[in-house]
Amino acid sequence: MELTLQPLALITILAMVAHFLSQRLKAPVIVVEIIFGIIIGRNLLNLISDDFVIDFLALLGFIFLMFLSGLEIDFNQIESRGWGNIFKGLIAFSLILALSYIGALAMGYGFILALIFSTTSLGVVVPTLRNLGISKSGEGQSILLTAMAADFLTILLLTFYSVWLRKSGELPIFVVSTLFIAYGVAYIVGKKALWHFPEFLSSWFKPDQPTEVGVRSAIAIMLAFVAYSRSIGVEEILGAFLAGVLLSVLFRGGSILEEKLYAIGYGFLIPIFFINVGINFRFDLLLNRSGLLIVPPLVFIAFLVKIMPTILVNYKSLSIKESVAAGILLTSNLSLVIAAAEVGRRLGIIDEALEAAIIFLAIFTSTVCPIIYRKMTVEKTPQPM
Amino acid sequence: MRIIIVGGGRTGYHLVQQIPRSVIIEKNPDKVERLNSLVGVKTVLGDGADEKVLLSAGLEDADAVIIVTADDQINYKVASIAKKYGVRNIITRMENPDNETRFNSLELSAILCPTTVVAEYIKELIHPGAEKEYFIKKILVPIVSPDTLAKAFEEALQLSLKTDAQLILVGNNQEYVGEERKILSLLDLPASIEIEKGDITAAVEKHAKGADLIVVDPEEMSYFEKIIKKSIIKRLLARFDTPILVSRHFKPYKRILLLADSSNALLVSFEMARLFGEIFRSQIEIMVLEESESIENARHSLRDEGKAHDFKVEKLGVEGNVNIETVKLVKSGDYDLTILPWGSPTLLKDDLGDSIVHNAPKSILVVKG
Repeated sequence: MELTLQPLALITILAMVAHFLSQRLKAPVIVVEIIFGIIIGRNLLNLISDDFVIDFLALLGFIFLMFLSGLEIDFNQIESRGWGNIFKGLIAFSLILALSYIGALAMGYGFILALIFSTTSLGVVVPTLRNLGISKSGEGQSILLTAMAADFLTILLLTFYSVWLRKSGELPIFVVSTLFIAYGVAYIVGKKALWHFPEFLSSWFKPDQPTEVGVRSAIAIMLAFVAYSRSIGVEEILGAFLAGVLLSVLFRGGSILEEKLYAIGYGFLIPIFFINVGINFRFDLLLNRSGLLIVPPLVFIAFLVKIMPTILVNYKSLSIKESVAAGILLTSNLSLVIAAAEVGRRLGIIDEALEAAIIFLAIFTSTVCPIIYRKMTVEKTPQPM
Repeated sequence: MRIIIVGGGRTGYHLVQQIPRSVIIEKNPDKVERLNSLVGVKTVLGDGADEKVLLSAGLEDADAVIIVTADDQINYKVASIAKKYGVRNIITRMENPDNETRFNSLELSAILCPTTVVAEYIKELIHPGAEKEYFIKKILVPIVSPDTLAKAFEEALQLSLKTDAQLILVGNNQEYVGEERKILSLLDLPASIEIEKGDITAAVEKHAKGADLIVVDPEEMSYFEKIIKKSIIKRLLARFDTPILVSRHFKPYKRILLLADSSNALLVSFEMARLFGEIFRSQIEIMVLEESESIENARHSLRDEGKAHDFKVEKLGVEGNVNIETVKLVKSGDYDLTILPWGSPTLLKDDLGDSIVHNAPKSILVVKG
């Protein structure tokens, strides 16, 4: 097989341009990346298709995306909000999941679509709340906790569901639990190492490390979990996610190391994943009869399953308008929904038409929802300078 | 109680009359003759800085050594020898205030500098102020076992002497109290020993009302014991909101490490730092565990207090992971006291906070958030 690097060069150039264009258009960069992928992909220009290098790097980008999602979960923030608020977030998520399941059944699909409806993009929610300066307010915190619960629990549920499907309906609890046992052991060893070998661990987080031992170690931990997940037949995203959570729980913010990992992830691998999603996007299927039939109910249910529970859970603390706004913001879903669609397609439980519709939903909600939320909230909140 | 006094000059002569049955070492035969005229005083003729002379005076069994010569070189040498032989209470005179750092490195019970004392007295005469009153009024020392009292008692006693706080030793077994009773009877302190029936935490609870500080020795626990039972510190933390000082070898708190987060422990942590800073003229170094406006406000207020009460306040600059750097600082042993917020949503919660409380080389003040 001949290795050509032209497609990769093209993708990296597009990733760079996507950044500037997203700022200009005030749209999430992921949306621009997927659109670029659609343009160069099989639907339009057909410049890249079935490229081994791109597929491999996109897989690595996918793994990195889940790893960084785990790393991003801020346990300090979650704990500081108290169990009452955490419980509220969990209740909201449970209601969202229950309604999503009803919605998925109504559309003739199973649990995988319910999970897709339940996801929320922290990557869209957090910057929106921060830009409006309300991330610390009661309303902002309620939205954040629901989004965090959705982020964390959907990945767990998605993994269990995929394992359950792969093993023909038998949930191999023991096999899956070995991954969690490995996580527990790594956690205990890490905690002990923190007290006994702080000098060694300190070097992971220092900026002036010529060998970048912190990055090497973090990637080794991530890939060890990914490889183990794969070897026991569990979705590799859970391994990557758990490795991210492990580092987040152990070190609770090691900003320099995080920045370096973000640089590798968001600077190189993750854009390749999203552009590749666009490359493989079946635009034609979305425009045919079945695709057009799927999209309207999909969008309607996606909004409904977020707005209803938000009104119910916050009926005491927020007005109806505020709850609706919060529900709309929580509807925005991007990376995780695409990840879930990818898993669903690999497992053969989502057809390509539905996958195309889901990607459209992600692009649509992550672009439109923050704008609507901002419009509904801006009247009462001064815009930050 | 065996006490050795080194130096039979004017100070030694008067001191030996205050402490009956003590031994005094003096190398000048004329002064020894004068000391011999005192009733009940045992004298040793010889150089107090000579290890053999000190041993002949009973250094190995001494409970305390008090060094009062006018020569800092001799005082330092004697204190070093006494330290080598593990004497628990060593009090020395220091002529030149510039030698403070050197003497401090010995970690003695007390260093008295006549020059500084006189200077402060004159300052007080010129700028008379009200007698200092500290907010610590009552200190509790739980008597957990005979092996876990000595350090806590020593540290609580020193703090009680500095703050005039009432000192109460609380336990459930009379036999656990030994030397402490004798020491308290010698000192003019508002102190008492209370023996109660039942569990030690229940005994502490009976006297906990109004207590400002609980001082405990860390328990030595086997790995198995750690699994099946909670340490006394954990039990006290679960039951009381009072700050708990986990005692190691006491040394005046010249350097204090204040770990600051924005939890409910913030105000009490800074208040305790201010108190000890004022008492010991400390250098307080603040490790900010999370950026927050409330911490910055508290830090500025403490810095202003420091200017008024002659203690220094610094913010530590951290490169890397703040939690790992904190562990390094605590383990370095460079700080005589570390103030640790407990139950705060940072890494210092749970296991790592537990390691700090139970294994740190120097005293830890745990403030519940």
